[in-house]
Amino acid sequence: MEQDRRLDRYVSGVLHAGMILSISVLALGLLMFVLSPGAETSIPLDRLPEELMRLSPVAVIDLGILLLILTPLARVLAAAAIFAAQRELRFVLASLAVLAAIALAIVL
Amino acid sequence: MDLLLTVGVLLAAAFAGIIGSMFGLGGGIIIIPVLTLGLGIDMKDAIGASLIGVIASSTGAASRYVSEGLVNIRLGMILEPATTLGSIVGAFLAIYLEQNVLALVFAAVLVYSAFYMYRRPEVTVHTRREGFCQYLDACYVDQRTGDMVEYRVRNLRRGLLASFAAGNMSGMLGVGGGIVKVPAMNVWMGVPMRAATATSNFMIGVTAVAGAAVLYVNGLIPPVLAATVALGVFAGANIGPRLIRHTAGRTMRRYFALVLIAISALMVLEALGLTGGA
Repeated sequence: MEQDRRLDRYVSGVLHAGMILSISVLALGLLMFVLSPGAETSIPLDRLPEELMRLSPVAVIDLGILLLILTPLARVLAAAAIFAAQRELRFVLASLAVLAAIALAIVL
Repeated sequence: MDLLLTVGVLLAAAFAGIIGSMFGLGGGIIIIPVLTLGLGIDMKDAIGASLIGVIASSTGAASRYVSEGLVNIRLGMILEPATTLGSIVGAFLAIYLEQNVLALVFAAVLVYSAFYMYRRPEVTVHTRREGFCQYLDACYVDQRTGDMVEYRVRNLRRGLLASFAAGNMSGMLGVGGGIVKVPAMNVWMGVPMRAATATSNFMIGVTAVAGAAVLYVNGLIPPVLAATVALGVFAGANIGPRLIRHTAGRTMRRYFALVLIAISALMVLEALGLTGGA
């Protein structure tokens, strides 16, 4: 049970951090967009860094969306790490299977 | 987007976040019709924004539910690969099958589970030993009564099949997952309603990630709309868990049955082409 508390703490920590981070970036991006409106089209991933350097509002919003998409993945990794530390092989495998299934979906 | 539209999107998203986080649903079933029918937004944009909303709903609600100890993380992790694979298979099947017929079949299944959940009380097997929660069996403190609730997970295989079907449904119809998983966990697997909805909330984000990543890479997520939806949903997903905290499991089950009926009605309307969407 002590172990479960640890699992809960780490996983909720990752989810909470992801939530706060993406809310902040999304809100900042939306604010920037309101102050200097432009095209509402999404920016391709490879051009995102340079657009971010130029402080383009839509690029900031896209970064926030990316952070939001990465949050569930991060919590799968966090859980996998804790299962590994607790030597719960079955659940480490389950976590990896989750990641593999997502990768499969993206590749297909 | 003008101011009025923005306010409309925020309110719709917050409402979807509240309902979704209370019942373990993604909320897409609410967001998509409101955006398309209510606010005249393009279907494609609505789907992209709603997937981001689902991730926000799941992240916001789960961060709260996990820290309250309500989420059965192990059970969620075991069921997640089945859901994700199910949604991949569903996306392919969608190309070959008549979607309207599928929607009607699913709606019938939902109505059946609604009646079942409304009339029967939940059956959970409680473990005997104090503080004995390990492997898939879990325990949590019920905020309403202050009691420690311990339960044993049954029928893992049927649960895996149901998760696969739930993924199928979201892959084929772009709707649901939660509406199949919650009854499956609650009715078949013996997971108390409160833990089932919390665990479903936790799982939904991962299922949505695959779809969201594909859309993102192809530039199909409208940034401003998606960001507005996400912020609204986050607000709702932080309110919902507080509202449901003091509701008894029995009552939750009844509310859920009503939500199921409403959703199947929406699906039937859409399948018959009466809403003009999809």
